[in-house]
Amino acid sequence: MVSPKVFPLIIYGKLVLPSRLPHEYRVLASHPGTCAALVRAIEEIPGGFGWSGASAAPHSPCFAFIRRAGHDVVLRLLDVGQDDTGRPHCFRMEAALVEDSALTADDHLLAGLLRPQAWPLQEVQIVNPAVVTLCADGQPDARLVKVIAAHRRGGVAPSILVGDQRSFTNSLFALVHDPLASSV
Amino acid sequence: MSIHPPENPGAIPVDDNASCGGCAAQSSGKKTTRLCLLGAESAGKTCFIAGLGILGEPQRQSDFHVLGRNEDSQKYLNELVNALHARIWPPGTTQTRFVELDVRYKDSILQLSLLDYRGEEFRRAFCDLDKSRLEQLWAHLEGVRFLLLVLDPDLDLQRGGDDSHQEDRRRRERLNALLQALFQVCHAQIEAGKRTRPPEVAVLLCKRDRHPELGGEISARTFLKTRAPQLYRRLLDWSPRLGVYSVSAVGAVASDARIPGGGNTLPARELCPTGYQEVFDWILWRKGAGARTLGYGLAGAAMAIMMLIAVAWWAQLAWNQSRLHDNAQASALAAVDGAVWLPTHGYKARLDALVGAEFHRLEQRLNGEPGLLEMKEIIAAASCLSRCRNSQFQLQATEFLRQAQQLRRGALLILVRSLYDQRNAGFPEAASAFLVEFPQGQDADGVRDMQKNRRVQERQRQRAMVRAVRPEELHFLARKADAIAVYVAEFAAEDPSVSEMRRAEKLARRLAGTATYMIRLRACGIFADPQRHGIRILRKDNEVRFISGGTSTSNNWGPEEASFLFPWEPGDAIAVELWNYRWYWKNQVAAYAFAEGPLSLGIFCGKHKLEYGDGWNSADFSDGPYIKFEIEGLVEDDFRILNNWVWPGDQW
Repeated sequence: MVSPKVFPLIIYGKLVLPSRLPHEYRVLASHPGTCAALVRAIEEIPGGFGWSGASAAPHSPCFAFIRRAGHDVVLRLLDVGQDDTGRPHCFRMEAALVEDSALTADDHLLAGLLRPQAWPLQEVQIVNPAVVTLCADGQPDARLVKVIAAHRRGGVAPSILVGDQRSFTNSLFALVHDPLASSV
Repeated sequence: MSIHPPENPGAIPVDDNASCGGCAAQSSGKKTTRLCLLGAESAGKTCFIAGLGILGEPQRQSDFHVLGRNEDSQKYLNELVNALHARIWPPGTTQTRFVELDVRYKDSILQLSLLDYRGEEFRRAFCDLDKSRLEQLWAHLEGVRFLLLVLDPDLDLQRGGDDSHQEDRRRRERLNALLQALFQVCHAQIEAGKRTRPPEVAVLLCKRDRHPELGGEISARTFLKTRAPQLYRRLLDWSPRLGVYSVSAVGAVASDARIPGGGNTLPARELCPTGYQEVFDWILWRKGAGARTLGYGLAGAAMAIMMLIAVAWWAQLAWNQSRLHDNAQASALAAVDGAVWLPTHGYKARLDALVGAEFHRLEQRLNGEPGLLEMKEIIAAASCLSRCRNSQFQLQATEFLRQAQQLRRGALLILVRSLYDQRNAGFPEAASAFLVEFPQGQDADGVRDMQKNRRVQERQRQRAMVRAVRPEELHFLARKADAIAVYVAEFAAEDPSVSEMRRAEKLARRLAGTATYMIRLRACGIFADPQRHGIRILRKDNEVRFISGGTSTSNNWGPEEASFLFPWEPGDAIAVELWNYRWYWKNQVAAYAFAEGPLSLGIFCGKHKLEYGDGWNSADFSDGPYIKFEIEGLVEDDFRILNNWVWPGDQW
């Protein structure tokens, strides 16, 4: 049993407030002490991911694991609806930095972090210091656990994206796992 | 679960036209035209692609056929098109991706390779020249043939007078990034020898639906020139054949009631992308120009062996005809510039139509009280028309050119005179511009006279500025030296006293700081009744005293007895007293001198007469009371120069 843990967080996205100039995608908050190289590496992640679909309705969040700048990062990728210029599918990313390697070394715990239940219900507020409380407890998707186990190389988990495949395009994560497809 | 091997973000699967020397041909064997959309966030890059997709729809009456060359590109295109049909804008781009399109337009097939990306990253990458950002774009730019600079008229060309500091910075960054990217492509790559010629550049003013004044090329160009004249000039510097077009991916917009007070818009129900034809006409024109240039070059070289002169003449004829033949949409001026047309009826008629239309437009512009800059453009255009032989308008164009030049000459002269009268700092530049354009005639002589007068006035003004540096100011000597240096730098060639001024500047700088000087007493006045006497020098609380060894007739002030180190800082007052040491004499101070002011040190340079002390008169001295000192490193003439040019500096 793993109790909820607090993780340092980096939030990337754009503000949705009225403005004369449209807001820009940028790092909105990062935990104090996070190294610049890691922040920069996190900034590059959206370049490999995009929401797709011609409907204006927001998509369900996706979850991902990736190793960047020597750090294990668990991500929640959110569609927060319209941006300040009225364009749909405004992107937001919450990147939790996993400093405890035991969490990513265990397939069950890692799969547990890639579930909606592990994350707060609402998007994390921008506060200082930026942190998020995650809980890896609960029953993870068994097929996801197997996939992670099968693709571990040298004990390192593969980069993996978990979500509805119809809602995004991906050119960054090596594995894509669609929980709906696997349950059918 | 599916396994997707990650795409290589740096992979560029395309080749360019002949302009890209280092790129390999694509596997299909055909050449791909690399077209790059450059723009910051929300400029309209993705919508431009979406509008292209709409134009290529099968049920639409248009000259465009647009198909994705691979599954990803087609899916992406469909998604963008479907979004606009659903009356929602495409989402803001986050994922960087190549869009490979086959565009058939007017019997030409273009294989386009475009890159869609986050505008924010573009802004940061190129504003800071951070090559680690958007590596795909840096790589894509290396072989790009066509650069489309995507600008939002509201975001990029609005004069942000009341912007906050942050907004102002972002606006600057947006345009900086564009210019930097242009620089990288046009300059750096040519320098590196990767290209034989720079890419073709056009400005796309997007969101034309919000600006009714944006129409064809001319109005778009006028809009850009009016809103951002400096940017336009800079872009022309990099790309003299710059195209300027306006486009709208949807044709019209409706206000979005879903966002209260947001002022946002929705695509109109009926989608009607506009402005794309002009852009693609330009692309085909420029693409053809390159191929033709190469073709004619090779043909000319081969035939030159046989019939050099004749072939060259015919090649030019054919070249000009082809320009007219397949570029109906291109600027008339570009088509007719320097043209020699075959005197066949068909071509002559088309030539006359082109020239006539352009001539009419120019007349309208000239009658519309154009500004100086616009007059210059009109003159350039008229000059182009007047060079077009075989046109029925050639004579009229020549006369029109003369009138336009006369008008500009008059307007420019009024400006020059007005700047002269107002003593405006812009006068020298305006006068030079006038003389470059109109170097002959009475007006030119008048402007030259104005230049001379202005120069004299300027000299007087500068001299007054030097004179105005007074010792009330702190660091007077240093400031005076600076003022002299400025004057000398400007007027060295015109002022005969410049060598003295330079010396005065050096001396003033030397005396400007606190220093210790080696001073020697050389002589002093002699008492009529020989006595022992001495000299006392006072500065602040310091005193230096010398007493003669014998009587005053035999006193000896050799260097060993009468030299001393004297600390002095500018402005220190100095008193020198001649003393008599005879105990019963009337008063001990027989004579004295007192120096104050910035150059009081001058008392030690040369011979100075002393004032009589109380109870003393000329009968008491056989050789009037005086002192004579020397300062190491300074001569008497230095203090004359200082007196003339530094303090009081009456020569100014």
